[in-house]
Amino acid sequence: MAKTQLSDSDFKKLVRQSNLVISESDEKTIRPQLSEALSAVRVLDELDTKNVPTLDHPTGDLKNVWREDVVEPSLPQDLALSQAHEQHDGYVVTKAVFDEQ
Amino acid sequence: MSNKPLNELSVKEAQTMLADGTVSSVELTRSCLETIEAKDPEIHAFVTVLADDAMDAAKRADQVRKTAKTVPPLLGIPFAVKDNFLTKGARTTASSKVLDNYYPQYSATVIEKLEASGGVILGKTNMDAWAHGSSTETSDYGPTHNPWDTSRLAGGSSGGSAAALAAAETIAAVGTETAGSIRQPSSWCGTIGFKPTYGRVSRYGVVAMGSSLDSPGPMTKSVEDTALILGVIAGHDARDATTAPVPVPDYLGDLQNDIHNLKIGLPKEYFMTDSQPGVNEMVKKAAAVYENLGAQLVEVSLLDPKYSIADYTIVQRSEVSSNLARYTGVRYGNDRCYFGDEAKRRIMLGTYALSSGYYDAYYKKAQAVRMLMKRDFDRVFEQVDLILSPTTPSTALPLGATHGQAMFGELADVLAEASSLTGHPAINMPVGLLQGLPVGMQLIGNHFAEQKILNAAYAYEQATNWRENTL
Amino acid sequence: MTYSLVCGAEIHVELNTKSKMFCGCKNDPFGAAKPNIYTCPVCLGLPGALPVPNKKAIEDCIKIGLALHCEIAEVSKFDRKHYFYPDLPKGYQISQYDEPFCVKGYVDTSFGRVGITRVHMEEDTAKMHHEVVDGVKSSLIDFNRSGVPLVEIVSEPDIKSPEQAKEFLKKVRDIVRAIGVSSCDMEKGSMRLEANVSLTSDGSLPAYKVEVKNINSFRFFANALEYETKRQAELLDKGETPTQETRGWREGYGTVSQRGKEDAADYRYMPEPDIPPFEISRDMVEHLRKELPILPEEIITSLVADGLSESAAKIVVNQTDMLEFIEQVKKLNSKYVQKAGNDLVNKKIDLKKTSPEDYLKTLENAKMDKITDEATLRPLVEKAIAENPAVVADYKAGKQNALGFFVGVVMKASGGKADPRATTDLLKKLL
Repeated sequence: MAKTQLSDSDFKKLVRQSNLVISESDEKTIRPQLSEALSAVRVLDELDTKNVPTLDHPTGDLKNVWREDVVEPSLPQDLALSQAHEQHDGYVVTKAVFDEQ
Repeated sequence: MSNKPLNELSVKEAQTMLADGTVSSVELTRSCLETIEAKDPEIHAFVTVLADDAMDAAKRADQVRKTAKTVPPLLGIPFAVKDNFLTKGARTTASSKVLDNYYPQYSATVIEKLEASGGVILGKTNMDAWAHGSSTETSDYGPTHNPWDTSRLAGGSSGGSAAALAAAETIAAVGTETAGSIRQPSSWCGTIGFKPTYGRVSRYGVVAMGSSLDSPGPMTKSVEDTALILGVIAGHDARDATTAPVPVPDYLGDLQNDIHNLKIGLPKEYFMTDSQPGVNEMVKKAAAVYENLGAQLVEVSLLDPKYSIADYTIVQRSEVSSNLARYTGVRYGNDRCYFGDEAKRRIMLGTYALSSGYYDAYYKKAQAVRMLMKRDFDRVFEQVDLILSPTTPSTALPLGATHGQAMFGELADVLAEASSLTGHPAINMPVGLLQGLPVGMQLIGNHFAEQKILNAAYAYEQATNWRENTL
Repeated sequence: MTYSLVCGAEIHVELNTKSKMFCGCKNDPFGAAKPNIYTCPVCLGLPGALPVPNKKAIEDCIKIGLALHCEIAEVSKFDRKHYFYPDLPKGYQISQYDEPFCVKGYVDTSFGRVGITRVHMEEDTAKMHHEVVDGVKSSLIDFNRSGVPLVEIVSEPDIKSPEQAKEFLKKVRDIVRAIGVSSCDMEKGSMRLEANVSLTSDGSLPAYKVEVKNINSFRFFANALEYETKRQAELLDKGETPTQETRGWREGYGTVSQRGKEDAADYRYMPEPDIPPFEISRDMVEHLRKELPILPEEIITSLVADGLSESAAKIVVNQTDMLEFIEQVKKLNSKYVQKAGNDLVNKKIDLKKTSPEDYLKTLENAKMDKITDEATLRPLVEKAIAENPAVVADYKAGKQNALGFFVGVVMKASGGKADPRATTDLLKKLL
């Protein structure tokens, strides 16, 4: 089976999409492992799935699960924020993100 | 039984002694904590030991027992819980440095149920970080060692819970299975592990790995214990939309060992030629016990397990990439630089499988194959009541076995993956020792056939007295 | 080169359910006294939390779809839409991808029909604002809004002018408000607009489109279209294709390119494994259809049929008290509906003082037969004369309007029924 090679740009894009930081040394091990795994899983092409629907939920015919529009108690503000890396005046704080140039 | 050290008791044995006053929960809990102190530096089953909280809970349990008219079923029984169950106010890490400093704001439904039943939580057990693995070697806090041979791995990802049971550091435990994570470490540690039907037990408050796969379940020293604990933790949960609105039977009350006319299928593909020599034979010998008890053994055929590995890899890693997206170190925990290699690998493969241009070839294809697997099991369950096979192809591997293995977890769980993908329930039963290490057989049932599995496991247990011979 | 506008609108509507879309936290982001007081494991995206959909929100979404003439799907599901941003706690938004609740609707405008591609359900993000905290430029996040139910309405690229855009948007807003599922208040953020804009020279669908965000009024929407039309035309004239990108509307300036992303957003949609799929029965759809109030355009049509002018109808439809008044008039005596409508619009009726019954009585009285016979009138006239000797003297002195005074008195005494001419004649005779 032809090996799925990840090109440089493919790999960089994948790292960005995954929101990860991969060091150069990490890349040396991870990249070939990824290629190997991606090739190995293509064994599924041996099975004919034409007209076979996907099994997204293994819950059989469970459907229409919903809740009534009732208000329930929320976490107190201090508990909700207790694990935040940084908080200020009741807000969760993070490094500034801007949309516009 | 009265000579047995307290920490070696099963739940049922402890219940009897607590009820007749022979022992107190404080004594029971102290016995476990002392064992942990003595053995865990070598075994390393626990990430966090909650000694003070446990002793407080034990004292309260003893008080309740004095005054209560009806005693909740697990009152005063010490438990080890896998560190992916959120425990309010008690550190929960999923064995990852990303959550090294996470103190949850709420508890998982399973934890609430155990505590409402009177259970005493001894501590949080070690696991493969994020449940990504079948060894507990990928824990960011170091591997868990197999009590049978501490140079070997305990299996995973619920390795800490299985090892804690095998080392008698606890009376009972709970773990989770995404594919093999309860069954396989139970097999390697010679304990009983039960993976319920997907949706039988609530996932609310369990650190999500594979949303359509994760199943919390009991890990115990006896089948009665399994039946008892399953009865406590199973049930519909309004906070988990995938839990089944199916009533919970009285698993313990209905436990019986008459298995005449039970049809048990042995899938030839699951007795693999490249399994460790001796494993298949031991499991077939265990199967013969069923024949002697009046059950009928039938050879059946299931889809080649090699497809399970590929299918599971894609589905699980895709869901993992999605479920780990919330960990950014802003609202809780540390940032994504703290992810270990295994987590990074799985996130990236999952992201790839879901990405535009590859979705159809990978994710969609895998979900369709998953349907083929369901149809496969449906067909076989028309012929038989239960499926029997080895749980895992080998006994416990040595420390370091996972190094450099990009798909170690998925390979070790080859015999568990199909039934996990389709949501079927299963149990691991220890069947003996091979070169001094435990071997396990699994019994897989149809959806919501937990009672059938428990009865068959009970029959085997009663006929063979495995616990005396193993643990 | 002349170009025509090809524009589609994306409208996000925050529903006014009591609780959020996937959890029981209170749905009141705008009214919350403090940040982060309506949060829970689910809408905070804590480890282990799971979503459970709000039934009323789904019903509201279907109602909006029905009001926009959509087909309601028989099967539907939620999907995860992945992207990383601090206001999105799970790292994905639960939305709908290929099986939305409603498809293929339309809204008619005076410029022609605007198709509705789809109406679907999703959850809102948290609210972020910028501040310098301890000397560091920071983003501050409030999760009160995280998980609030949002309905997304996507139109076909059928909008051909800024005027049509405004009319279309107003109609959609009025419809949603009439159903009562959202305040559709752009200042409070319960209605948000986005435009997809391109130009075509030959009527064919252009190969590119520019997304414009941050538009918070109908007027700005129209302005953005005008600005983009000009900007894109200039590029096209030079032979360049406008970049497919997202731009932000900046009041007083125009549209500004947003931070360019190297890859087009790949949301990696995946069916939501935590929520089983939906089968929407036709019974449920009919039940929801019956719950819909009569919508503005239907009311206008009905009023016009009753004889109101279209302009009067358009005024009345937006005033609940006028509408109720007309409804009552119609029930009591339908032949006066047109007059009532005109009188209302011309401010001839004081709604605070006059009930529909009083109004009709006045009209009826005006039409009923007046008292003309002397026998009935005489006692009234004699009484008026006897009680007002000073005015009798005025009359005798030659003041003609004294007669008018007496007519008035007699009119009052007779409950308005006295015939003015007969009264005047009798007065002249007796005085």
